[in-house]
Amino acid sequence: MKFSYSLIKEIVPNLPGKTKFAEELAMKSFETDEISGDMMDIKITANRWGDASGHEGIAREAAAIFGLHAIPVKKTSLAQVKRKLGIQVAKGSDCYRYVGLLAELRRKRTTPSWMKKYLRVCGIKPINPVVDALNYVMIEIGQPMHAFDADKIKGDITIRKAEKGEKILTIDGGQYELGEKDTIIADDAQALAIAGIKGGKAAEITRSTKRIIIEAANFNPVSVYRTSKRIGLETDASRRYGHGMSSEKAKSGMERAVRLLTEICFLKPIAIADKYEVKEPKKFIKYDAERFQKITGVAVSKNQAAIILTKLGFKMRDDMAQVPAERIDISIFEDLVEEVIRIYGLNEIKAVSPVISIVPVHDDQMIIYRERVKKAFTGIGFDEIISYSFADYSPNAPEIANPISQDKAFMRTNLTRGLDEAIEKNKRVFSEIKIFEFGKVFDGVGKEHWSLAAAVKEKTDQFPLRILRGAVEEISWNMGIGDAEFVPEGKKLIVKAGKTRIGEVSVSADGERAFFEANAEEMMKKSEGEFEYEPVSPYPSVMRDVSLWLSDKTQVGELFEAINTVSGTDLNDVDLLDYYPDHENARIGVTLRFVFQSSKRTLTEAEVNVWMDKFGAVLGAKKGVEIR
Amino acid sequence: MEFEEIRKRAGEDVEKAATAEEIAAIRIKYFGRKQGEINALLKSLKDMSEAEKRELGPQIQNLKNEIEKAINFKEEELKAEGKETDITLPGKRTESGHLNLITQTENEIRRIFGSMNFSAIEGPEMEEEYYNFDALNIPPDHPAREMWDTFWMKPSSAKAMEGRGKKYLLRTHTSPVQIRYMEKHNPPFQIISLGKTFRYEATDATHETNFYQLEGLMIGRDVSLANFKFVITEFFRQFFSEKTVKVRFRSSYFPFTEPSVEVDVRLDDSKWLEMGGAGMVHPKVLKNVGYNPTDWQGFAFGFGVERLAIIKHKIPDIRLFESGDLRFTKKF
Repeated sequence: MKFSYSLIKEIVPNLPGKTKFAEELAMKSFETDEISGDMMDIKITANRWGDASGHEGIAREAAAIFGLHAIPVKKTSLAQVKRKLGIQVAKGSDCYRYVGLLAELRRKRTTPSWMKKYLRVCGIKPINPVVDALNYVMIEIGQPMHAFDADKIKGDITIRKAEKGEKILTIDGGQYELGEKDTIIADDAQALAIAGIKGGKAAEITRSTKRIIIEAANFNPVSVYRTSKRIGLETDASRRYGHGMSSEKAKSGMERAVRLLTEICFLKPIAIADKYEVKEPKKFIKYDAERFQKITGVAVSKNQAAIILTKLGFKMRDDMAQVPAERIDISIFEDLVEEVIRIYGLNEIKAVSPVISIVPVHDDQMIIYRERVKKAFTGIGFDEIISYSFADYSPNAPEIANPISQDKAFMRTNLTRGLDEAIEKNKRVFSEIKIFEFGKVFDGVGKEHWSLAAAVKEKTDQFPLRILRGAVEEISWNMGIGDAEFVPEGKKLIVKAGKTRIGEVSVSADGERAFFEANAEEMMKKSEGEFEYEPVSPYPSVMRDVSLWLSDKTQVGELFEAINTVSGTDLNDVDLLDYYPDHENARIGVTLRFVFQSSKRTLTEAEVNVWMDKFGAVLGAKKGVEIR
Repeated sequence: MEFEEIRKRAGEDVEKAATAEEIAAIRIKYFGRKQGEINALLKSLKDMSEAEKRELGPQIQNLKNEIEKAINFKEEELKAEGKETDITLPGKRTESGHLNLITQTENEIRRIFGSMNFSAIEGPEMEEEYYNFDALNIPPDHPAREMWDTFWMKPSSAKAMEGRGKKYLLRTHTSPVQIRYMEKHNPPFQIISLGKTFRYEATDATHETNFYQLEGLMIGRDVSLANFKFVITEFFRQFFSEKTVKVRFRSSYFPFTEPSVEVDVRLDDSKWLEMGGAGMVHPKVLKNVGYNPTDWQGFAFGFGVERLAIIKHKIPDIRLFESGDLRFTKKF
């Protein structure tokens, strides 16, 4: 919010220079940027609009920070205005207080130049003396004000909820259709203003206006906020009301406005109405110096605290602090602690080691698991990718109501697509890509799980699928899954641990990209077992290689299936030693290495020969397989 | 002392040998079946008394092993002559994979806080409105909620469409994890939570829609802002590996802390850097999870993980982290 340094200085005459003031204010009150000239940008926090959205409030902060005196803003009491103005506040209208004053403008003058200057610094364009003075009251003390041309009003003023479909044309030419939840100021004929947001054209002040009705009001902040959001109209007034403020300010706003307008236009008050619908209780909070120290770790004497609070507008009586009405943000002791410590100096807090009973650090299981998996993947040369959680449409993907762009309107349901995109981005730089990601994917609104995915991009003669599958085998083994299986299903391989499906492996149509993705939570459940020691066989192993031709329709997996049908041998392992497509003859050359080993004795040539004959028989019997 | 002599002589013989033939001759000299000296010694054992056997047997055996080893070693050496490895060849690099810098930063953060007895916990990325806002004392229909530009989920069920049931969003901070943890655990404790968060904003060098946050929470009987200053200074000192780390607080506002502060850090003599928000947990938040605020108090803080990494590694653009650019990943 824009503020004028010199206007603050008018209220606190001994205010230090602008830079020094800005620095201290930034430490003790609000983020502050010094802008060129007289202007300062002060970021009023959302809880402080009620008291600090005007220069008076900032001046109060300054007085407390520097221990200076603040001159009260001059007002004109309206106690002598006896005639009652006809104003009704309808039940359920969300109007907390409405002060209305009918007055005559006895002389037409122009806005004083000092007022115009301050308005401009705060980013408000001067319009005419009445509007300018009311805007000035808003920037000065924070109370939004409005005025109607009294002679354009038909009958009494009523504050009520709009009727469904009720229309209003606002001063700036906007047309809005209102509903039963929106509060309006109306006369007997029509809506005159959208309460707390914008005035209407119907009773707008013009050069020829002779009599005005000045409004200083307060409304339910939620109501103003909702209406403003719904109709898409935010104003200086609606922002202030929307944050919430004290109804006490309505009266001071009116008194200040009358004072200014009397000076400028020789205003003559005629009749007044003060509809104070929702009274505000006085708030008292007991100050407890001991608890203050327990919370901040700093000892501040009762007296020091009382001085600070008094400067901030609190009335102190012994340990009791009466909260100033405009401080709607203060309701509990901790709020007082903040007031005192920030003005006293947050940097007076010295670092003190906490005294605790230690407990074993107990990280979530998934955190530990994830770190291990990531380490295992990088250990075998895979780089980690972190990609966006957003995706474009896919079936069952949860949809974002307000996406940043249409291609990011859904939540990702898998990580594979992100890895594919990462390959696409990197393929020009790296010929061989091995990547993985461990991240959340989304199964529905409010449903998500950890997923693990990996991808390999390589030339087809390097068999990316084999590299990936080997990596998955290694990772599974590393992570305590001893029985990972790869079961073909259509064009994919289903990865199983025991009977549980944990993920799948697939390959792109051109064979250059292979992908693995698994439900990491399922994987973790399968990983919990520890391996037990198995003694290494002291007896030598025997190896036999078998070379075959496969028709190009036959898959290597079928060979392994056939081998598995033979039982009663000491077959320990079968490795794929060689695999090369012979496209000319539409066949594939394959060499398998059989490894036999017994844990009980040295195997003899003769028995291994017998077993190899069996394997030879089952392989040779398969269609499309020819033993070389 | 016969053994010593043999040991010495055999050593000299092996040393002098310059060809495979010479080594073969030495082997016969000592281990030949007929005249081998060691063989002869071994044979003589059988004529000895039990006591002598016990004493000399192991000595002879040792001598045998020693000489055999020397002969074998020399033999290998002679065989390899002329086939030495060129030890000046450049290394052939075995590349290990690289963790994304966010993961590395998170691991480091967890290590440091673990060393101060903080446990790491996690929560969902798609969160209920209640946990992201209401439970944290962020009122509905108040501009304070606009401090967090939020991605809302489209309701998926008919019930949710009518505005009944839970409303979901992408968590705008890791603070909801605090609430979820406190609902299930009793104080005292100290925890951190790291994870992905989301903000609806235009991206630039310092803003991302997807980013990572570090959340911390410590609750006890008398955990104070002074304790927070200690913990966070210690963290920065370790994280930035700097000797002089200064921390300062600026007044701030968060609905879930009271008092609230902004935390700035200064490394050596550089300028003050904004790190994030913190404060004493608001009594309403403690009440919302069923704690009695007169019995328990503590601090909470929230920092950007990328921001920590950006400062530590001098990274110019936050968008690099999730760019998927492997040239970036492989640098760390």
